[in-house]
Amino acid sequence: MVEFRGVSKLFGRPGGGRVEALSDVSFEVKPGDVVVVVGPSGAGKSTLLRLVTGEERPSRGAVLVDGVAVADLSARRLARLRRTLGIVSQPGRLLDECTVTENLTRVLRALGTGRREARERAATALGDAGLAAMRDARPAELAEGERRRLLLARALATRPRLLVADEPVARADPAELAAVAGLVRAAVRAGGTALVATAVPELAPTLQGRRLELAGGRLCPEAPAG
Amino acid sequence: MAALVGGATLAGERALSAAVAGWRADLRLVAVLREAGGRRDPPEATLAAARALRGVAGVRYVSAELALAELRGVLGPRAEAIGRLPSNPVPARLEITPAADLDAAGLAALQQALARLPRVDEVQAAIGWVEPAERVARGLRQGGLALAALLAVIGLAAAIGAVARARRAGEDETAILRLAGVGETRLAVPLVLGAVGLTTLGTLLGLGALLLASQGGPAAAGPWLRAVFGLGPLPLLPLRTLAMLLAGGVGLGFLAALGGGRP
Repeated sequence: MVEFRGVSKLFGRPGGGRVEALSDVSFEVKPGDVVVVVGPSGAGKSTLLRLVTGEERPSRGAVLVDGVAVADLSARRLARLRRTLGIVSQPGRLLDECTVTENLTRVLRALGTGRREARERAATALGDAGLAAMRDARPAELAEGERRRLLLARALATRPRLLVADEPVARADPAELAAVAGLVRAAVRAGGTALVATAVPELAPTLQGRRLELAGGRLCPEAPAG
Repeated sequence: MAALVGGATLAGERALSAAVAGWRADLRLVAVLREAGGRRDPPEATLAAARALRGVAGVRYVSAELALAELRGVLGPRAEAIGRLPSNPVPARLEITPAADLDAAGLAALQQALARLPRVDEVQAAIGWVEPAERVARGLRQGGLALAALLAVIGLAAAIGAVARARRAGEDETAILRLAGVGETRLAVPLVLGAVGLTTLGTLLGLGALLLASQGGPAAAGPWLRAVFGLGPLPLLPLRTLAMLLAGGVGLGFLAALGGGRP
């Protein structure tokens, strides 16, 4: 489903010169996989995910989703691809002036979901994420872990084929880890695929997926999850 | 404001044109004829030459006898004194009707050309008002439309600013929706609708004010216009012109969305 072929990504420095955020990264994510990319801050995890979502373009190599290079997609086709993805970005944006429920229904309605169905899907997603009691609260009233779960719920409410989640947990809290892992595994059981990036190494065994170690922009040899 | 000023300019121009056309309908150049060897017969050669001049719509020959009879008619009871004169003092003349579209320079040229015709003694023409009237009409059109254009540019700049502010205020939501796969066209719709709505509303207000100040508007508007501007109600513009002004306002909205919608 997702394939990285010899991908490198370079960014310019403000004072001149370039920094290599990713260096010759190659790996594959098959349908139904749960792949967890683990690494410290600055390892290149966010850059890796942004190459999948089309927010960045590789400097070398290719990132393919369903056999099509993301960087070659027109704006219209990229939008079409993103409708099949559930994206949790870091930092994630929330609509602070809207309620928790409206943060989900606004997106669903903009994607063409009917009013009633959008409310139902939002209620289900919030319930699954343990946020039903906060449905009328504003994002500013949520704790950091609750905000991350809200971002995840919004991504999953669109029923994506591929979940691309950057830092879905804020810290190694067992309850948070279990809640997030439950959501991701449920989405995969429903026919999806998950590519997750995290600086919290405990998330990988909890998700029971493939673990990829990223350090200094380079992928270490694969280690099994758990 | 642009619609109001532009519309008022066009309406004012129509009013002035109608007034000038009315005055021009009565405008005549009078070529006073001199007798040639005591002959009082119609000067066929002069008539033909006058008819052939550029800018002549019609020529009427008034014989000395007919001119005297017309003078008697004008003087009324006082015409008795003319009968005691030894001879007819009133000369024959040609009354030339100039073409309606002949401008001030053309009228002056026609006057000079008539003066050069055989048997023409002098040419009387009350045309001194035409050139100033043309200047006023030109100034009204150019000044009014220039002011309307300036107001349109100012309006456009204000609308672009409003759209840019709306875009910045909605940046978070736009980024979220873009990442969720909402297409650029769908993302642009609220901004476009907002911009078009803003400029259309402004144009409708301007056109509303224009209609209030036009013939067919409320009766109370007439005295107010005279008191404030010294003018009567403006002629009502044709529906097509009003529609064009409205379309211009709507078009400004699209331009504003284009200008203010880009990050």
